[in-house]
Amino acid sequence: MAEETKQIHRCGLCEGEFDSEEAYCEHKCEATGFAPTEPEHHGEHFEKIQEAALARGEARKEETEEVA
Amino acid sequence: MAATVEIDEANGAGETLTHNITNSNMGSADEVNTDPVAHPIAPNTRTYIKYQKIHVTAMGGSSKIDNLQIWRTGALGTGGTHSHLTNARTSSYGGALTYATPTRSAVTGVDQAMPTSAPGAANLGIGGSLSGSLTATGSSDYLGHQITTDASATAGSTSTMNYQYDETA
Repeated sequence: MAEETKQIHRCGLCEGEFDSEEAYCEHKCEATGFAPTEPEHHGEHFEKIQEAALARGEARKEETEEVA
Repeated sequence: MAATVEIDEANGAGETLTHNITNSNMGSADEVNTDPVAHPIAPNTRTYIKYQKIHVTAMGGSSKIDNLQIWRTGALGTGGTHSHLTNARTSSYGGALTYATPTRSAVTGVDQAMPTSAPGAANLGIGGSLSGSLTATGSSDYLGHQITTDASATAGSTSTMNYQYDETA
């Protein structure tokens, strides 16, 4: 029987390697000091980027509703 | 707060999935964040295929992520005919692309022209379907994409990959 190939999960920022996606998501990144589930992990401005993206989405939704 | 989303890329025979990649450089090596100077694409060849996916690591209070749209902006290059091929498509979607060790050969199902503007409807699936959605953390299907060049291609081009999704509060 062939040996099952195991997927390795690697953090692109601290290069830590994990056996599972859960373990990756729970790790505190040595490069950022935050877990990948926390916005701060993706950069100091990520929360602002998120807010701007939501605002763009809301504006687009309003435009779509106006057209309809 | 909005969902927290990253782009992941798979490489290698044993599938190493690198989370939160910082670029999508294409070249003659199967590696994440490819160094295009060290691994350029020779004329009349293909790049290694990229297997990438959208990964939601936290829903951030949102209830649904769907309508994934992928496209490229910017020209591929000069001096010849270049094609940017993908499995992303808005109709007759082939289901979730299965990961295989990245290759410089053609890959079945990765045969559509990469859109050069927002396609206007989902072209990458979740759970094998364009109408799929994420209501908890998880990932999209794999996006496969590869560039082909002809003998007249010249070096040097930069373009931008766009990954868009809808988020419902």
